[in-house]
Amino acid sequence: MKHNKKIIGFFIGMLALFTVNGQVTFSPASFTPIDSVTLVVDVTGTPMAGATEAYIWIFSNISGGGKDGFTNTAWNNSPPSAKMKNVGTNKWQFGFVGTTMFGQAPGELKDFGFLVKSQTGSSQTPDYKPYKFDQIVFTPTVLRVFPSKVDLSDVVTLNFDQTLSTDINEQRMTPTTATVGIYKDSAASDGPHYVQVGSDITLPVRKTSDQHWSASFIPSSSFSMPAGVVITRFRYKFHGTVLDNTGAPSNVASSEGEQLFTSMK
Amino acid sequence: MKRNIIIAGVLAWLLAAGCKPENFKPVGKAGTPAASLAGTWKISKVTQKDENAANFGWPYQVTDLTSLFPYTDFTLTLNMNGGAPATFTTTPGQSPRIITIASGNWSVDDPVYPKVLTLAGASDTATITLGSYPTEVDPTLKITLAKHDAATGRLLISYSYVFVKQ
Repeated sequence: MKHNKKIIGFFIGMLALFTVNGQVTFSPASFTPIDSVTLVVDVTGTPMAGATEAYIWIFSNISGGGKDGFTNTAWNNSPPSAKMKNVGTNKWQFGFVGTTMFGQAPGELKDFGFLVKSQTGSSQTPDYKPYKFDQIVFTPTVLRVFPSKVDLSDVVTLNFDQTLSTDINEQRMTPTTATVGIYKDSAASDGPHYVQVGSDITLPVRKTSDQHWSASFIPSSSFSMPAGVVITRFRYKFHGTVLDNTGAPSNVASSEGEQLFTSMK
Repeated sequence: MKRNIIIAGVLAWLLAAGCKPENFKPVGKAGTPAASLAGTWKISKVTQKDENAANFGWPYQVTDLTSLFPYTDFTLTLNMNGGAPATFTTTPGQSPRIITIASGNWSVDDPVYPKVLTLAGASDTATITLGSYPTEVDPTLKITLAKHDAATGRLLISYSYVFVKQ
């Protein structure tokens, strides 16, 4: 019986963790330790609900090797640099750059967490954690976009490396085309959703070396961009054929890749 | 003794035969860089560099785009008036519009040592970094267009274009 209580307690704890994580959004959605990021947190249902002022308490590397943010000066007297901006009922916003906030090198920063508090520390939310930084160490992947950051006017090359795949169809397929769709963000009560704008486009695929394939496009030329719509990301797949057990070709597709657009000037 | 004299003679001949004047191209006249930019230029090569990857030391930093899109259609005409930079026109043909301004006036930051070429249209201005300006030894025009993160200003991508004179 005592054992069952522990299990139930564990699941309640996990549920609380995921509920808390679902109340935080980031802009941009992915970021490295050297990127500027803005977070928005909804503190509804926490002791900070209804507060008229809010301050952040932020810390890096949850699993070890972390540091306090430079705004964590004194728990009972947070400085103005820690003050969050109100952007709606119970919604608080804060922007920072990881390396500046924590005084750590880009390669040292893995993730971070934070909580929202009153200036004196008399009330606070639970911890919101962990949130990962995009790593600045290159990791080979089956699907890869070149360049690593792109905007709508760039030449974008999609790459498919079959040698890295663990999926049999991906390993054996002969790619013939790639499809790409563009998406906009759409806010919803259960978090952000991504809505496709227009239809997928189909691109020819070229073989760059054995089991390596590529397809290139320029988003602003390949898609019709409706006025006033902010395109935030694209998703893509490689399509091709494998031979089934009778020797007949069968259509297959790779897993789907996603890339965020970065605003550039 | 006679044998040593023969060996010395052969060595002397080898040394003398090994010294020939190199056939270097003439350096040519002293350049007038701004004036050398004038003319109609057509793209012959385009490369794209992932500056973000280069910054982090990742592989896959540069790719050649020349054959992926019809870049070689693109022409840039720089006109002079009385020895000074004057008007310009761009003609993309089927090429991606690497410079979106169709026409206007061009200028350089320094007529003697130009590093930046400015193309000013009616409502927009493009600032282009000169990789090198044409000389008699290397008559190509090399320019670079850089793209920075709008939020942080960090360099993310650069495109390098090599133009040949028409």
